[in-house]
Amino acid sequence: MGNDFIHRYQIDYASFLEVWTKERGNWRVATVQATLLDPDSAAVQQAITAANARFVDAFKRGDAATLAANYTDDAVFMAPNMTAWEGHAAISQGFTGFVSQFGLVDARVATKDVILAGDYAIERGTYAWTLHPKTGTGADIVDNGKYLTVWGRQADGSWKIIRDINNSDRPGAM
Amino acid sequence: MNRALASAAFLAVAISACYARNVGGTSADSTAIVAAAAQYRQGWLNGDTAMALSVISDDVQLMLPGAPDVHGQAGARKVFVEEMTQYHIPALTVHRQELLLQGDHAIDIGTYEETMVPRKGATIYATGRYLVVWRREPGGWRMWRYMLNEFAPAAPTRATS
Repeated sequence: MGNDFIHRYQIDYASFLEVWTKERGNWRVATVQATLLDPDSAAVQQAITAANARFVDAFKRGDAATLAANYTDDAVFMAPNMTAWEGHAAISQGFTGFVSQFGLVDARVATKDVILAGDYAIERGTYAWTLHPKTGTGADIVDNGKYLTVWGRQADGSWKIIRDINNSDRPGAM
Repeated sequence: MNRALASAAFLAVAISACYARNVGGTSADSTAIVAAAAQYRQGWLNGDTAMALSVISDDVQLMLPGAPDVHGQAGARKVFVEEMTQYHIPALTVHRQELLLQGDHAIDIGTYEETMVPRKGATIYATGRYLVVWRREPGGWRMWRYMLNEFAPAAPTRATS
């Protein structure tokens, strides 16, 4: 709070962000940001939520092909501490390797917001999962973190991921 | 807070040196974003919190490794002050790989290398990648979503000279 605060609200197809500042004892609006919401945004968010559910389900089944199918041919997947997977072949290979090493015991993906920007939808969210190594005697890996995903509208109206980045909330995690 | 990663800033590379796609944007937009990124970087090199914050949206989400999201200017200010107090940043290099413009938003992706000199202890050399979503706001382009990845844990490395 202090000498400024942010007020956010939504009216029909527009969202507003006001920054209020205290000047000489009186509150004044310093800036206003209005963002027009695409009437389709609810449908887009629904499509992304459904795609995320399919993604988690495919992960649990170890279905690398379905995981990779979520991405466009020229997509880039960027996870910490490893080379980015660029393009369908690398993404497919990457997921194939990953699911051969780990089983997904539990996973939660929560979308925090989706903003439409032309033919892009920018999704921000969090994840929490437990990975079980398929070989050896290593302990399960428990992790939680956040992601930023850029979806691209496809010619058939569907949405696929074009850029995907994530990191862990845990210090020193993968 | 994770070690000084908020400071991974952006070098003002010529826009021609990166892959810029304008979809509903203009070269003027690209130029403005590159200039804003340069200002941000300079703020970190100078240890100037206000300069770095000047290109941060009031609605920013900082998504740094090893810590939960930080939201808004006030949260960003706290992170910046903490890190600028703890570290001097004498060198920042950023390789912008692409800048995808879509109307009032732009996706900025690249890698960074930075040198962080703590008040006490060994110099840290950190590397990683970033994805920043810029948003056109009153007064110019602002960083609205900011996520970093580390390539490897920043190691306590070579002795300073």
